[in-house]
Amino acid sequence: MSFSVATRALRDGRRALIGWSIGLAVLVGFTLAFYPSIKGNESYDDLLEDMPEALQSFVGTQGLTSPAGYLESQIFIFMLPLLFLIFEIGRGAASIAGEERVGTLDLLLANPIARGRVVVEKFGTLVASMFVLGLGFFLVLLVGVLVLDMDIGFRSLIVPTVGTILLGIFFGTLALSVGALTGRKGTASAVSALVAVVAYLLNSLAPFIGAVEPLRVVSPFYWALGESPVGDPVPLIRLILVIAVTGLVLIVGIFRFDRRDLGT
Amino acid sequence: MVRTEPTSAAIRTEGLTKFYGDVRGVEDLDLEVRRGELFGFLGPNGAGKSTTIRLLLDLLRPTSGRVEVLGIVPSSSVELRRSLGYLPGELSLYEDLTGAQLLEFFAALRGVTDLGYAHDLADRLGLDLGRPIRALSRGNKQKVGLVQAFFHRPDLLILDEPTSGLDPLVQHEFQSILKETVSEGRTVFLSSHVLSEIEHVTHRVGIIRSGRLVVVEQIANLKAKAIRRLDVLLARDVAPDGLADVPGVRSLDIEGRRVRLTVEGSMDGVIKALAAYEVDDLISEEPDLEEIFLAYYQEEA
Repeated sequence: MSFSVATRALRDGRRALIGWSIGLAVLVGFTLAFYPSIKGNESYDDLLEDMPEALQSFVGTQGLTSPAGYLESQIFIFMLPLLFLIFEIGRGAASIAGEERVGTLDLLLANPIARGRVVVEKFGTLVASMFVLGLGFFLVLLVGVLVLDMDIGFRSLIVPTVGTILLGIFFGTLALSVGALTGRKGTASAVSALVAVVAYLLNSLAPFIGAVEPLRVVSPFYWALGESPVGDPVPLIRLILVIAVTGLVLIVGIFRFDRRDLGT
Repeated sequence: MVRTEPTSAAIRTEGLTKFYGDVRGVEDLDLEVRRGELFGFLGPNGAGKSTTIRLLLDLLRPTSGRVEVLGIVPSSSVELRRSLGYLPGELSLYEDLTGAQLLEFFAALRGVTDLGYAHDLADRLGLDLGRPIRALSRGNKQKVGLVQAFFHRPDLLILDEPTSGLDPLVQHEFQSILKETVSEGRTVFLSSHVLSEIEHVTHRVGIIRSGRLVVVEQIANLKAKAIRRLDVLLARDVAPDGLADVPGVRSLDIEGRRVRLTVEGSMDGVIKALAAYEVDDLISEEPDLEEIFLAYYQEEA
């Protein structure tokens, strides 16, 4: 059994993946390079403490100048999830809906390959490319932390990295499935982006708005990253929850895709 | 390789109906294509040809009615598609691949290892498989589409407007490929909106109009019923008499040296009658599909 569809999709996306990896490495490298000039300058933390709590939640709970606080506020609380989500939602939406719109899906599915198999192989490429990008990021992060001699535990680095990777895959899968359901690439991207914004706001703001506080537990951001991704890494069970819900979204996509008419 | 029913019809539909919401694709289509036949599916654009074809390929699901391809309901078997070759009406290829890479990709999906026939076909059609598809002209892309439909020697070829974009020389080569395919006992189902493109190769023709199958007929019978327009320019202004009584002449209009006729079936009588005069020019137009439809409707009425 060969994975021709996945292999082809990976090859098709390899240039973009290389570009993303280089861009991300540069961005993370620069971000880390500024740490020595921030470190020990506690006036930044004082500044932060004067801000309203709700605003503080957008930069994490660890301050700015400690290693955990710096990584959390500058990388994990916003920048990394944003980039991973853009990367994956774009790929997810293009996987099925993109091919359907261009018209190549007709020809592909004239081959003896089940529709579900196509979805699964496309999902496989989403996972693989996200892990490649995530691994690249993690290596740059590790090197930076070692070079700058930042005092931070391995678990505080690996858990939020894996969490963000899984979060990216979740939203990529959402875009894939909505695309497989509707055949519309624009709809797939828009729905996924909307869900992402709502989920992000729920996780960041819910603690300060009593009425929506209980809703926080439905946010994938809460599952994958929690309130303080680096300072208080989420327990393993929450990462497993992300994987389980991703699987569910994928199954719904496969199920519906198998039953509908394909557009030309 | 695939367990298709060798004794079944190549294609059989019963009451096949497809609506897109309220819009009719095809309605109540009963069609049977025999094994080893070269069947032409003829109809104007928008008549439901592509809808029918995409139902055969399981890209669409019927609203009601039944489809069987090689004795198998398409939606029940992925393996059925091993025995099918398909050329879509609106061909889209992976533009970043070369022709050879595209064929290797599809060969891998089909578990086919021998690409010898693919290269043969490409040579015969004059297609360079080494070039990226995005750099190919429309006609050459169509050739890639044809090669990928034929290269694995499927039992049934389903070709949606296969000759569109091909120049006449290539069309000729394509027709001989079709004939070879049928001579090997395989079946070809091809659609067109122009009778002349398929009249030389097909055995039987089904005509579809506004989503309904109007008639299925031997090509010879169809042409016998076809009405042709004839435009004759005589050398001298002599009103030819007796033309209106020639068998097959449906209408006659004489205007000085110019004689316009419509003729049903054989031209023989008219030509022989005209032979008595000096003829400067004679133009015979392709029988129009609409006129063929009308001929059938008139007969029914």
